[in-house]
Amino acid sequence: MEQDYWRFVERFSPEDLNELMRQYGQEVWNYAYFLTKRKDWADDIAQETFLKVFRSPNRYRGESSMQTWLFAITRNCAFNYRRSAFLRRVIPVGQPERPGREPSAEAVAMGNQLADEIWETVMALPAKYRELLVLDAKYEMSLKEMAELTGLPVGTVKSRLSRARRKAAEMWEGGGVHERA
Amino acid sequence: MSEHRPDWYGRMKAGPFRERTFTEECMKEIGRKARDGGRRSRSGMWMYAASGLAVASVLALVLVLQPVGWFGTKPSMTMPTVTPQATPLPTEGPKPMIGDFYAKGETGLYTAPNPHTKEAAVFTVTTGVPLKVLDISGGYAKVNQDGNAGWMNAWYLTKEKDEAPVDAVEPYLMFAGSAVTMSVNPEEMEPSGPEVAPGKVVKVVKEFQDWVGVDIVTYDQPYGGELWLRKSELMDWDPAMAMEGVLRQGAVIKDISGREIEVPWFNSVFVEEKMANGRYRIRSEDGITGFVDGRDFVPNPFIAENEKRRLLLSAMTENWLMTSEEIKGYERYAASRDENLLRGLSPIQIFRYYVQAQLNRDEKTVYALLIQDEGFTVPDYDTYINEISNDTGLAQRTWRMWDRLMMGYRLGEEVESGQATITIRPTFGGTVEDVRGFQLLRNKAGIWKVAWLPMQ
Repeated sequence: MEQDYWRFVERFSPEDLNELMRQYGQEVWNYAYFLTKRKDWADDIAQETFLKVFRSPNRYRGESSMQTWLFAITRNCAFNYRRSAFLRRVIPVGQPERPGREPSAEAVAMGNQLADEIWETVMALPAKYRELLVLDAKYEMSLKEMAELTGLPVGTVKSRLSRARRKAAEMWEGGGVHERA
Repeated sequence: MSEHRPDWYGRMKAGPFRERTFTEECMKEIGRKARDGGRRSRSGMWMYAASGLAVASVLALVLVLQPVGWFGTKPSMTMPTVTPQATPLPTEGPKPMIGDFYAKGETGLYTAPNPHTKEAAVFTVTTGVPLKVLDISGGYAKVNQDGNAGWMNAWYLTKEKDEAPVDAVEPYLMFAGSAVTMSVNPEEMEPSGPEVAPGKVVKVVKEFQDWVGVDIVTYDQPYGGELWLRKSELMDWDPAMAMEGVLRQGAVIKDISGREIEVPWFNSVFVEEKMANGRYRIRSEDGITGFVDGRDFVPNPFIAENEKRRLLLSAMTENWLMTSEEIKGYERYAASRDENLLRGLSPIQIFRYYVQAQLNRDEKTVYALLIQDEGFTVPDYDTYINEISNDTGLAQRTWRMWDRLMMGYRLGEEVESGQATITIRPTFGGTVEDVRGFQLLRNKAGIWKVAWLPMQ
């Protein structure tokens, strides 16, 4: 579906939502994962993002790409989600524990599911570097787009990004991914 | 910031994960919630709970009213869709669920909610028969079906009596083309089962949509639970690509210094390296590493299990596999198809030659083993080959058949003057109908040959 189509959608129908998820769902999920490093959080954040898009009266106006617009909402959801996370930690939930949900088992399984070893390095970077590196390398965003999305001055984006690259290169070429954030 | 993009940037185009993590199921769930309108999302629920309003009752209701969602692939995303009941159940102690449940397919009941057990299932639940859910723990539900109680994988629970989408299938083999992590039930978003290495052989025993339920041979720790994979994550059976199997009786295993070492011949082995000289570096299930002749490796680890069971039975049962010596005799015959090399072989030995020729897709040898004396109806070679090559799935079906039989059947030999029958019966159990016969005839030269259409 053409990017332009979305500009003229006054309100998303369930079919639009489906199409949107089909086109951008995986990247929204990925972005949520890059922000949080948690698969279960990424699941919930991706869900929140699309429900918000569906329910919100603020429609897409075509001022940025559809993906960047969705990323901005994802980012917002992720920070809200993280803020409320501490509440969850203190409530006894009685939720069934599933085998393999423990972080250690998950960490082990994770390494085996990654598409490329480079992700081990990227995911080991501190969050502020990781996000910018991914937006640059994977999504090829311009400095301006990154600045708008993250709310940072362009200069800060630029300097953080070059630090992110340097750190990643050191870790990647040194073969070490121990410097966990 | 596009100036001088580092080389490794290109590697970030795909991923981070190999598999899709935002699945069809996620989309359906979101679509359903969007249509449901103003229902509270999970994080909303948590905020609600945290505000101090009836934390326990909200959680208990979620557990009671939507059990399948909690145990399914997305436990965190399912909210109750049924009107809450007035009396909340306690959150501590057993968590029984209201009403009758059913099983989506046949599955085992175990004594504990833990798949890492040596214990066999105490009972197999059947479909269409009501289950009472007595408790839940992790992904397991304690159930009672007709007085039989135990723990089952809770993914199997459904409220629909007639919904039994999991099919038990005739076992067949596939193998992992690359390392893959298994799931403990279908539709699991994050596979939480063991990871298997490339070349690992799996026995498919169940199917559910595009998922297959498999058995594997485990070496490090027992595993009694279910294992599931998307069928697309596995490769169609090809004995040449499988790295797991057994060694022939009499196979000589040497260590790195060339010294012979002993490994029970029915132990499973994993091929660690296929070397250029036709020898394989193997590791046995008890951890012994050594080198063997590639022809002594049989790519089907599940034969080992059947062999161990077979050995518990009477000495009258025959081995499926040729010994290391016999396979050399077979190879000499397959190279020349000189009938004199069959002289003196017993019907069961000829039978094993025939099976081996089919497993090798050596149709010339298969054809040569058929009785072709006057008075016996056998198509001529061209017609035979023509018919076979028109049936594209024949080789896979033949492999499947022999593999399945080798994994669960034992052989016997019955000879009566010029006729012999190889009986193929379930190693344990089974009925008269399960017994198959394979016919051989003695030709004029006194050599045992295979009858045309031997298993009809």
